[in-house]
Amino acid sequence: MALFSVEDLRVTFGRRGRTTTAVRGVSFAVEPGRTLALVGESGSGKSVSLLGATGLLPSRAEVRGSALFRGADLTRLSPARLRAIRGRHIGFVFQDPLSNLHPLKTIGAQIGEAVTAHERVGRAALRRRVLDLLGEVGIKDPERRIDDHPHQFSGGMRQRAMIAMAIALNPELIIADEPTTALDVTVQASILRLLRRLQEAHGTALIFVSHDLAVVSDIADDVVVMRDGEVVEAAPAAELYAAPRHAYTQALLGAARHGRALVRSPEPPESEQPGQQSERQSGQRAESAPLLRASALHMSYRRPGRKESFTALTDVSFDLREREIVGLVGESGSGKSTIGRIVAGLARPTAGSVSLRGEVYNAPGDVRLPKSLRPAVQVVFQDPYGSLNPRRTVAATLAEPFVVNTDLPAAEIRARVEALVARVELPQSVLHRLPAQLSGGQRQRVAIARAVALEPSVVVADEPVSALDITTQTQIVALIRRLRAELGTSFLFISHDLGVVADLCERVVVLNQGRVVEQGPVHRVFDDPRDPYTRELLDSIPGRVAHV
Amino acid sequence: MRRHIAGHAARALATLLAVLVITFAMTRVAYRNPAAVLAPRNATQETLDGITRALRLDEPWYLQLWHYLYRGPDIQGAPMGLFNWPPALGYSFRQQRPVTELILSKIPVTLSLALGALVIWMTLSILFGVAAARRPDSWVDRILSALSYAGLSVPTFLTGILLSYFLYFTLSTYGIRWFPSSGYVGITENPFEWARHLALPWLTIAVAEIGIFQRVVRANMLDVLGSDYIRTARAKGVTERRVHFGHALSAALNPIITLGGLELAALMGGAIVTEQIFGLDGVGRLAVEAAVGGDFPVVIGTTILAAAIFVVSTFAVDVVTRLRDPAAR
Amino acid sequence: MSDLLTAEAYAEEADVRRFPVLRAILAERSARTGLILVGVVVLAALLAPVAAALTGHGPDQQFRSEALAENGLPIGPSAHFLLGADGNGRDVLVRTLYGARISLLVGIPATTLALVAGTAVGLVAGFFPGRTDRLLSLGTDVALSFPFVVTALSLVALNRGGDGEPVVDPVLLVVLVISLFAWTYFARLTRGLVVVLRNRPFVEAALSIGVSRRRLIVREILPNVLPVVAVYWAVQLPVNILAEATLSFLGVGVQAPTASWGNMIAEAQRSSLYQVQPWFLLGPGIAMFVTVLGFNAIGSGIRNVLDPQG
Repeated sequence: MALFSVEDLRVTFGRRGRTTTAVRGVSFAVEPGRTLALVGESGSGKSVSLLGATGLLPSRAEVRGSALFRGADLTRLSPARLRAIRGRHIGFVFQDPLSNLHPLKTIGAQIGEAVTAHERVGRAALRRRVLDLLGEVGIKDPERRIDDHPHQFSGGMRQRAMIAMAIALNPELIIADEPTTALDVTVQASILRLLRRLQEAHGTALIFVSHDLAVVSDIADDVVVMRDGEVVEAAPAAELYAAPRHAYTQALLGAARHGRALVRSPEPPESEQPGQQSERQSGQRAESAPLLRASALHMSYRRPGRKESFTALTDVSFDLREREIVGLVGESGSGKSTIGRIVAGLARPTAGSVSLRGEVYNAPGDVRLPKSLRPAVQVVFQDPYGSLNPRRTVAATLAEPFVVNTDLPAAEIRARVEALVARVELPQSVLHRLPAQLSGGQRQRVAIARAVALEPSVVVADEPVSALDITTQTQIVALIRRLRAELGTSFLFISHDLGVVADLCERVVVLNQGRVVEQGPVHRVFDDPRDPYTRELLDSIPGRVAHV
Repeated sequence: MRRHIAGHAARALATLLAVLVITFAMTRVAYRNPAAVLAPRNATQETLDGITRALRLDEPWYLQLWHYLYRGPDIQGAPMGLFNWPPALGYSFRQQRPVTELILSKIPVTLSLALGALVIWMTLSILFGVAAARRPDSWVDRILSALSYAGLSVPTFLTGILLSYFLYFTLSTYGIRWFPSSGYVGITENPFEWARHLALPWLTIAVAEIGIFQRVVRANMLDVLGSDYIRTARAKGVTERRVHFGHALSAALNPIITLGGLELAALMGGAIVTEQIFGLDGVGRLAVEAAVGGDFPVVIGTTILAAAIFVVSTFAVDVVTRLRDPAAR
Repeated sequence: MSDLLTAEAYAEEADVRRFPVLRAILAERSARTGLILVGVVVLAALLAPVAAALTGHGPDQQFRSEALAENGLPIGPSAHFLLGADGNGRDVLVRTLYGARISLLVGIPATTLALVAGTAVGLVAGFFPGRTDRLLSLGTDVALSFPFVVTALSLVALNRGGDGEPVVDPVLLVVLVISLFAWTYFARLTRGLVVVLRNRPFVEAALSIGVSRRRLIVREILPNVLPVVAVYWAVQLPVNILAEATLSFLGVGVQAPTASWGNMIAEAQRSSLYQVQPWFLLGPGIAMFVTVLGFNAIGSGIRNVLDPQG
């Protein structure tokens, strides 16, 4: 018999008469000790259905259907009885461990509360239990860390603390909602290992929610794929990965595989497109003079309230050639965004300089970029919400580069803006819309259009696809490739996703803690990593062990 | 943290100094013959000359200011300046008493008024605010929000008059004399009478403040209740009461402390209207009478006191909210 | 030039941008209630001379023989004096209606002046970190730490010229005194918004396109600041209306015989007449309550629409 089974679950959100349906009749079940993966893109209703089933949604959500846990329907239990089950019989691990921990309470107090919410325990005994739990989830030196506050923990340690809370009373089921999404890839791998180990040790059932089929492949027994609040496909993991039946699952799996297949293949990918031919050629033009050169960049900040300054970059040098896409990879805090900002002229290095076609434009002494150079280097940011002015229409945003930098008449500007919109494959109807009326992918296209409006030599793209769904990601990557082919623009492509970098870039620069540990052609670096850190990074990519 | 505090303290001192100079200039430069304004009525020419000499009114204004700060007027050989020990705020020639002494004699009234009202309004606002945030848009929330709007929309002087009309005048026509209409009894003399005399003034202030604070508490609680870590607490099986008072309130408290500090400072600088209506002889009344009558040493003194209280309370609020936040500590 | 034409070419953007919000605000219950209340008050202010003409009672005219009883006490509400008369035999209803004019005439310009000055200071302080910001923030602190009533009293006292006549029109002085304090709230609000906006990617994107600082402030930052500031205008207005009433109540705002709700209530309180004849308070008291409640309701309605969680 299933430990936890959800049947025909529906969730609607209503506020002041308007309702939206997030989950439309979803069913799934998990057996004791097994792992069920719930996979889908954002907005597919995977988290909402689990939160709804366990009574954790705000009161304006209406939940119908049933959620049977050991025979009791959670959707019909009184709040008090539901409370008695949560924490004791069902443990939870959520996505972003920083926002999910109370900022003013110590880690120890928060873990201890998971126990005291259900049991009466003496102070000393409680502290001992919390210390044991911290040890079990792999926090080093728990005696010293138990009284720390969440901000003193790293992302990975916070997630370990969340897991300690979830397993505190040894529940039969753990619900983990995107537990590794906010983490760096090497940390993600270690958290996945921890979850697996705990599950084996205690025989706990696990529901693992993720947007990434690859992450799940290492851990799932069964997989349920969701889209738009409905279950698209449900199958045992081995079956689903071997022979996905639904077209959507195939697309998801294809996207997950695409990058990873590239990583270990010695040959260029079989699906070589016309645009990519020139990539290879430019890769061979290695000896030609570089378009952009970053030489010996150093960056250090003085942190408020502290004496010693923080070094973000140490001796970073690399080249970007004509028509080339160079990937800048590293985990969070590696300094890759800082480099992007320096190249774009938005930050000034403490030492070192950047030059474009031999002309130095961003050395420590410069006050501002020379005006002639500014349109030559443009930038695209990660956050498609923040990078467009919410109060200006797409037309006004795209007209801006021409209005500021040229004396073109209005009619000409309008024609150019329309051409730009067509170039990034958006319908002309978006021109009069505000950013809030666009999807994330459309917004990112507008941001790219603005960046290429004046046909710059270099575009710095700082994690341009990280905030997007996997299908949109693929489209944006294709757009960047096409723009390079059509306009001859070089891209500095900053990403933490090695798969995308392998797919798009000719050369790659690997950063670790502000230093370049390795750089070279993508296939050389990824197939034959010489630096141990690069190797670790590659080994942490999920889904390589199992089916993907 | 230490650097931040030092920076803030420096800013506070600069603020105070600016207030001092501006007040001084405002009161001194605008008059041709300050001595005549400052002196008691029908003062002799000799007294006027004495005042002119004591304040060095025959010198340029910046020297007067310097003198005011550095030494202050010499009254019977005792300097009355800010930079002496004990620091003094000058001398009221009208009332023939040092300003510091005048202010100190009024402080117990104002302090009792402000702190008592603070306790009442904070307690009620937090209870009401949490109750309203528990079930937004429920009838409890609507009634509390209507009440808070009403409180917010009535000026203090009208509240005071209405309270004294209903709870003093109307009751006394029935022979019930629970609340006196005016007067003050020291807490050390008779704590019960102290509270009885201050009950209506406290309520008067509390009505308006609850109108503001209930909504601030509600809004911050709603904000925090929607956050991820509250969901985590619920996921652990923590009881709703503990979620509200243990988790949410402690996180929602900082903006409330900040605003509370500002309001308290404003009241301590003189709850002028309330003091006026209930005949309380506090700092506010002293300041108003001085300002209307042109007793500038008292005006400067009370203004500096109010500014100092404001600056100190902003500083204290900053330190407290920082201490509460482990990331800023 | 081309700038202007582009703006024209995409003029429809204004429609897309403003109308849904406006419609949502009009549909919001408390905003609608507030608009009705404020509408009534504005109408009353406009119609005050009509009421004066109909009753034949000027706002400052005294009718001692008709409105005062033999013992000198004013008569209660009657057909001629709908809300009774005050201690000087003046019509309370007519004076209340004229009081609405003063309230709006002081509150609206004072708040608007404060908005303009505060927003300007906040924009500059927020956009130029370092010395400029520190200096302007210090100025804001200084203005905030002055006690409002005492300083207002001193300023009014200073306003008396050598011959005892006011140098500046007292109503104008009240407007200036209130805005002298109220601008600080707008400055702090705007500065906070700008500091956040300055680091938003769209501002950096504009910078890298080559947009000048002035254009950046006017075209990118100001449009994002203004709606918030405008909401705050609606929030601050009732506060300032109460401030005028309080100053007038204390006898330093609008001076008798000009009718203001504050000085009408003060008169009732000073003479203790309200204890025997509470309708003295009724007219100005209810009028003020309705006005302030109305503006508060509008402010909260707008906030409900723009920020549903708050």
